[in-house]
Amino acid sequence: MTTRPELRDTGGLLPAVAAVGLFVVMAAVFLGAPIGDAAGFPQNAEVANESIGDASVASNASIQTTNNGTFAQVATASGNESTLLTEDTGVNATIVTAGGSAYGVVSEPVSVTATIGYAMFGLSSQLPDELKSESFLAVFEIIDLVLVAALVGAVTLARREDLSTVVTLFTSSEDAAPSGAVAADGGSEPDVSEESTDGGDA
Amino acid sequence: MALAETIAFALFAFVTLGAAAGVVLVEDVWHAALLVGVSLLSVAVHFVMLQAEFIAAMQVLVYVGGVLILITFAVMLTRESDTEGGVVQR
Amino acid sequence: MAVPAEYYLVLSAGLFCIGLAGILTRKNALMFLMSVELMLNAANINFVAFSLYWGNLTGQTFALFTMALAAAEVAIGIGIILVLYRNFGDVDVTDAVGMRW
Repeated sequence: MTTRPELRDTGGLLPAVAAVGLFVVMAAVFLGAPIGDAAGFPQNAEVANESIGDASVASNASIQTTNNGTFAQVATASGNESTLLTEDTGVNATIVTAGGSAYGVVSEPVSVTATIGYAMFGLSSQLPDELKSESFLAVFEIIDLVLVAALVGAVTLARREDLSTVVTLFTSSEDAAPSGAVAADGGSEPDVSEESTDGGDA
Repeated sequence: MALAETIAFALFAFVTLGAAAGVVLVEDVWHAALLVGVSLLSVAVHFVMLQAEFIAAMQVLVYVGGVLILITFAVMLTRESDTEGGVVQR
Repeated sequence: MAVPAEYYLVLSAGLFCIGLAGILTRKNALMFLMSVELMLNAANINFVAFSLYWGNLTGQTFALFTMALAAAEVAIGIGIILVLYRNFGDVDVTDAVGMRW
């Protein structure tokens, strides 16, 4: 039978008012804090950077891709002048001007997910310069231990204290009726002689 | 573009906070568990909007697929058997 | 990030305070567990929002560890709740007032 959700009767909600008050204080602090614009993640990381002349040539320059690689080609009065940027083809290359010079820049996208993996397993040499992170290998191992401890703890809690046998979930608990308390983990209650040590003594 | 993102943020913030408030206010534990699922899923949407797609995927897998299932087990294993509608738990 | 970081901070503060109100007002141990999940999610939103704000991936990595910790906590919490239910016949945390040794 389905039941529609019902709100619980609102009695003894004084602590909730305290929580709402905490929210009001926190919201006031956050909205008043001098938080500027976000830095954001870089989309591309620079992998090659070749100077092709001073800034005036930038308007005549273009990116050319041949079978031999990717070139920055500058059209001058005496003819075309090519600079090899990378031997790869099909990469993302642009002409940028900075500091009075023009550069042919080859970039490739930065993968956030891959960088998380490098940071988590302590592969600092693989971390890209553009996307800052730190090495988390020690934290990773600690979390590993915590998860193993949780597993052992859960199994220990699921064990009957007196019988020391691992019980299975979803077995019938019909036979637990005589003691009054239903065995939540589905195991059968111990004998009546042992009942004094097995709960119910709240 | 920025307006659309702000509207999406407001919409999913409303879903997140509304479902979370429902968790605290609703009478039945099972309904509360379902509302926790709604809240966790809309938090995953916030993660996508924050360019954390991997965290969003882990949120759905670990929280909705693991934690919520465990809570569902506990709700069903501890439900009082002598109630017809099953709405007696505080 | 088109949405300012302040909005995410307010959202996570709201989620945290709702979880806190849940812990303070309910007596069911399962509701405690769910409220703690809400509070951990609020912390995760802050981690990820500031990760984007600073352009630093440390926040996202740490959010992953928070998730692992939450999963461990729920595994232990379920075990404790089932033992509580077995020994007291209820999951009301105010019932468990005595210790056994």
